[in-house]
Amino acid sequence: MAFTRRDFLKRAALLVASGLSTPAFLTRTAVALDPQAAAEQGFGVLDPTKASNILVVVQLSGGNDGLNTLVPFGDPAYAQLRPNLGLKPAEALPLTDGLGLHPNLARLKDLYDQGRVAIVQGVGYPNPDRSHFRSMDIWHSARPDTFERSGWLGRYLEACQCGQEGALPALSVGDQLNTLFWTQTILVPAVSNLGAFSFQTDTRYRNDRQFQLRTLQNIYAQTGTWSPYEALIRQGTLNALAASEQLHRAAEGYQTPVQYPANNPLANQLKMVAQVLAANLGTRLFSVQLGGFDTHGNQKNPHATLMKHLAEALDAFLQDLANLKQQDQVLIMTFSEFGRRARENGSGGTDHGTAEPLFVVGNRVQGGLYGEYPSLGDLDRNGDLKFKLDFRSVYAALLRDHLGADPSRVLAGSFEPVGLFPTPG
Amino acid sequence: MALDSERSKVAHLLRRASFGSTEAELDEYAALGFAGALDRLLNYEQVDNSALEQQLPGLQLDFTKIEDGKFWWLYRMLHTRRPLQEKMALFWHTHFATANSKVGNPPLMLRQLQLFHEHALDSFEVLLQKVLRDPAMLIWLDNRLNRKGNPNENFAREVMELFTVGLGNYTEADIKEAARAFSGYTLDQEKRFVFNPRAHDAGPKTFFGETRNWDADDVLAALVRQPATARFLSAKLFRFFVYGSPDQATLDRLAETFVTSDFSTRAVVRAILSGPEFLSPQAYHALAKQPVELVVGTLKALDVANVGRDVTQFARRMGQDLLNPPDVSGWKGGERWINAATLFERFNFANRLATGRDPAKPYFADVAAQVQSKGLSSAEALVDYYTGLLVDGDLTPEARQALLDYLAPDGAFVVDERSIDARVRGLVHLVMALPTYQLA
Repeated sequence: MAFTRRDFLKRAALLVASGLSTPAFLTRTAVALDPQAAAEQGFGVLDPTKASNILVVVQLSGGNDGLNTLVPFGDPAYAQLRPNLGLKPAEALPLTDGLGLHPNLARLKDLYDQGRVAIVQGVGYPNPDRSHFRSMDIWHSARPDTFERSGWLGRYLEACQCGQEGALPALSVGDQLNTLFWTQTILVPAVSNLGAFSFQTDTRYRNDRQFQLRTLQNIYAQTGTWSPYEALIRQGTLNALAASEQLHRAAEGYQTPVQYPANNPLANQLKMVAQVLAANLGTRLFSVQLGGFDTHGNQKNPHATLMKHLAEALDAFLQDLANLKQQDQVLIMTFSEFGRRARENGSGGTDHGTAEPLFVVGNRVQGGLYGEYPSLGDLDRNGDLKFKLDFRSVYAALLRDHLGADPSRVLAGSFEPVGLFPTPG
Repeated sequence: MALDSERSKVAHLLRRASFGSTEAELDEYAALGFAGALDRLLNYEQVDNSALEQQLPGLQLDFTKIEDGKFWWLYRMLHTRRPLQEKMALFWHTHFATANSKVGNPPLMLRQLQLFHEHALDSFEVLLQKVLRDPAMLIWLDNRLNRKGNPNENFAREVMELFTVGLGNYTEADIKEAARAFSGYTLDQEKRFVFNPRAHDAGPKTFFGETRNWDADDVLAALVRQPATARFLSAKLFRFFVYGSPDQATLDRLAETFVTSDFSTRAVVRAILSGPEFLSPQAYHALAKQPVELVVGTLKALDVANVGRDVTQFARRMGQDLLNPPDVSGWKGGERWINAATLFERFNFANRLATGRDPAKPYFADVAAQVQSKGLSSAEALVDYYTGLLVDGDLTPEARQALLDYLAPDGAFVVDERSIDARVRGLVHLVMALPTYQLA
């Protein structure tokens, strides 16, 4: 039988009404849509007072040199280990008598002085892996002991029932999905350019767009048994179609008086986060990344540039958050897959190492120094720093005290949350 | 459909061992049968490729510009008569992933690519020795800075973790000792490889439990001969060509081939492409197309002759910036090609081609000529032709019906100039937006 155009439209409308074109991250989290089912599965209930808090994860890819980020200039061993790369006591921006920030972190130092930066020292995990890829997986999965594929924030999304609020609970900025969001059930969109994030059709026949979109919806919403790739493509496409309308509007509606630094790849990404926040889509988790930290040779200038990018991008972003009146909801956490070898190598660089400092930035945090600096006099047999604090204790703090989740639902095992916040709870 | 005809098998082979095909190429290879087509792909030295080599200088590319280098490569993928050589160059570029973002020297990037062309199916040991001495690699993994007494571990670590035995098959101490063996392999002022004996640590080293005066090629020879390398490389090649989860027996067979053939890549690739797994149902449409496969394959399928210099940018936006992989582990590939942003890039590239109407401009697709020459005169004929051409007919009856409804919402469809322009171009776009079009 032949379908008329009216039948076609009616059928498409029916599909929408029956929920077949529901955004895939909703359908795939059906359990999250049903509070009873969720309770039976033992998911933690989100603390409602924290339901609008937002976390932005800044990934410093390649292994950031922690010793030249948070500089122990007061320790004579530092100058011995870093005869060429080391920063002089007068160069570092002092936080204490013996500890200071890289000079290009001046903007971050200002924020620190305002009490908006928590610096957690000596963060790592037992039996450190010095492979970029394995160690990054460990930070993403928060499971150093197994080859777990799911990411810690992906598991949080599963546990928190975030899917029912907005269509876009999380956004991975960049053309690859950050695996800290990966789960079997939720596919977080990865977006690198809001302007280009739409399904384009023939501009000569504008009316055709709706028919193409409906045909596509029709094809993609079909239920069936698909190969893993086809299932992923189907979910990703439905997901993209649903999110693109909203994100497109976000791109159009955003204006800011804040001047983001030019030629700063991190600033561009954080600006995109601000655009999405401005649209109030209910997006609560973001990841952005700055690469180039794998400084095996001639490290000094490139690392200094990266420090500048980091501090200036964070500063502009915080200004924009104030402009958006979201400065009290948003926290930023930085991390890198590892720090670098204590002793500089013969190439004016540093090889892969272990423990590192990380920053948690925002109005909600109690600024200051946390944890303990690893001793330069007590290196492991590889010549690396011994970590003082497990990174999962930082995750636990963010999960419990910022994102309002029971950390044990996300992290395997129990990790004492670092007390990064001024008031309990 | 689904590998049940010789033509479908050859089309499958060309999706994997080439970059898809034009209809004419598919006819040509299909006439040889699957076995004949495979022989021709593998023994590419016997295929005359001079037409391409003669065209390339006419492009007047400036090889000091990386974008011109990327275009040169993609142009080769599009027009080569030796596609498996080009495909293997892509494999090695992903395996020994080196990026101009750090090397900062386009001519050296192209020299490395030339190495991958020359040794595309050669002995893995020979290739590895060349890679150690490759100027772009010496910059990329800092071995040029690796000196006696001042070791730099970067190359030593990655050669084990990513190029040979794989994670978990060496110790941190092995890395430190191998770094000593690689010291002194460096560059001169003109950025040519040079061995500097004064910078080389010739002292005894303990590597893989054996203490002796290891030099760099000794270390590489030992690595190539580790059973872990045979498995690691065989598995990686299998996943590149067939599907994601080879079983143990398959890997054992391929690893054996690698060892008994004196580490011949050609022997392993032949074993993979002629093995029973390759034509099994499990292999059909079982890989996600890499972005360059999607871009080149689409240009071929639609017979797009006029390709813009910006063509590599489509692949970049889909996540594959040639000569600029994200890090030394290369593109993660597989499911990592697929996300909201990259799917739109794929669909929007398809739209760009489907709506390319100006013959004088790049990306012109002559849809009207295609419809006419094939004598497509009904909605069914159009849908079946384009789904056959583009997805090997692999779509559900419901999807086929949806495409028919798109073309003929009122139940009738008259093929004329206007309807071709208004609807058939839309159909071509939609077929390339099917889930199975994203699969190889």
